[in-house]
Amino acid sequence: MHISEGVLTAPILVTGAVTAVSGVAVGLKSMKDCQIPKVAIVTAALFVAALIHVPLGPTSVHLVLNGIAGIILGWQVFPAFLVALVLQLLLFQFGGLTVLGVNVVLMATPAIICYYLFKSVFNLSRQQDSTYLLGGAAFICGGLAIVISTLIMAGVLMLAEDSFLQLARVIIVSHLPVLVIEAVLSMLVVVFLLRVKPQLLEEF
Amino acid sequence: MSKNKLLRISVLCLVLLLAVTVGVQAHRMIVEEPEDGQVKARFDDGSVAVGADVSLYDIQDELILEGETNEDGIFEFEAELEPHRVVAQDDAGHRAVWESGAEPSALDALPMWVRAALGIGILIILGALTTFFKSGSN
Repeated sequence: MHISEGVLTAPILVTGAVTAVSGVAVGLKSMKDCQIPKVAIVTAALFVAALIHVPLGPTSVHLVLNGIAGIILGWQVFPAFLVALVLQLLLFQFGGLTVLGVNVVLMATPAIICYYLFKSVFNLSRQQDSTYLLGGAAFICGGLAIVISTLIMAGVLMLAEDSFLQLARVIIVSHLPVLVIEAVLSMLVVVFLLRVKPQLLEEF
Repeated sequence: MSKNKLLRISVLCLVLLLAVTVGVQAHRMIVEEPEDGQVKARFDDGSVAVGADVSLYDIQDELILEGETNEDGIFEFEAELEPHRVVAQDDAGHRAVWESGAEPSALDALPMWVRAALGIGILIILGALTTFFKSGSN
């Protein structure tokens, strides 16, 4: 889900960079000292997720994990994606330096939307046994994050040249297996955390 | 079936699913060196770039030919053209450039797992240093 160097025009790159810097600033400002290890671990997972890819016909797509990262980190997902994408760029030549801001926005913005969606469900479910409800919310967030990411990606690429509908269809269809895997994975991680370390999800 | 058992079975199924589908390489487009009037665009997970737009440029960086890769990720052209630079791009935002005489990255020589381990090591060091200096300043 990375856009490569040389595909986008300068105004899109600048807009992406400014948005990413704003998101990172908010994330860093809201980060408490005790949250640093949690952010580092999730960043490592985001970094490695790009190596896990699903064969799809003649090509393949890789995991993103932005839904579950958003649920766990909130606004800190912006600095987490920035660091993960810089390392992927340096070590795997994924994406590019000028397109870094756009790629951060592409993956972190859906994560923030999922964070607020999950937070509202979490606050609604405080009074009851809510494992199934929160597992379902995480399932939806995991899939929704991929859908939003693909729509942003199609929109950004459309601004560069092609038609939105054609691009959105191609990108969403190619990411359907990832959408299903991420939805299931997000649900399992949230259910697991609720049983093993619920404090991680009680900071809402 | 108890909740715990259901959870364990679900985790096991997911691990098995990932074990079947997981590769150990990233997903970056690569244009191979043109040979005998053919140039191949592929991804570094081994899959080929089907239907990618390919542009050939001469040494003055003038466009000499454009076209699309076939189902094998190959674009054919007249061998006499001898392109100096080849650019491939697909609809999903992947783009790759091959240029005559360009040196490959030294990191490409390292296996993928070494680079992944290096990245995780850097993250651990970053996390540890940040925690150390933050706790020191408090």
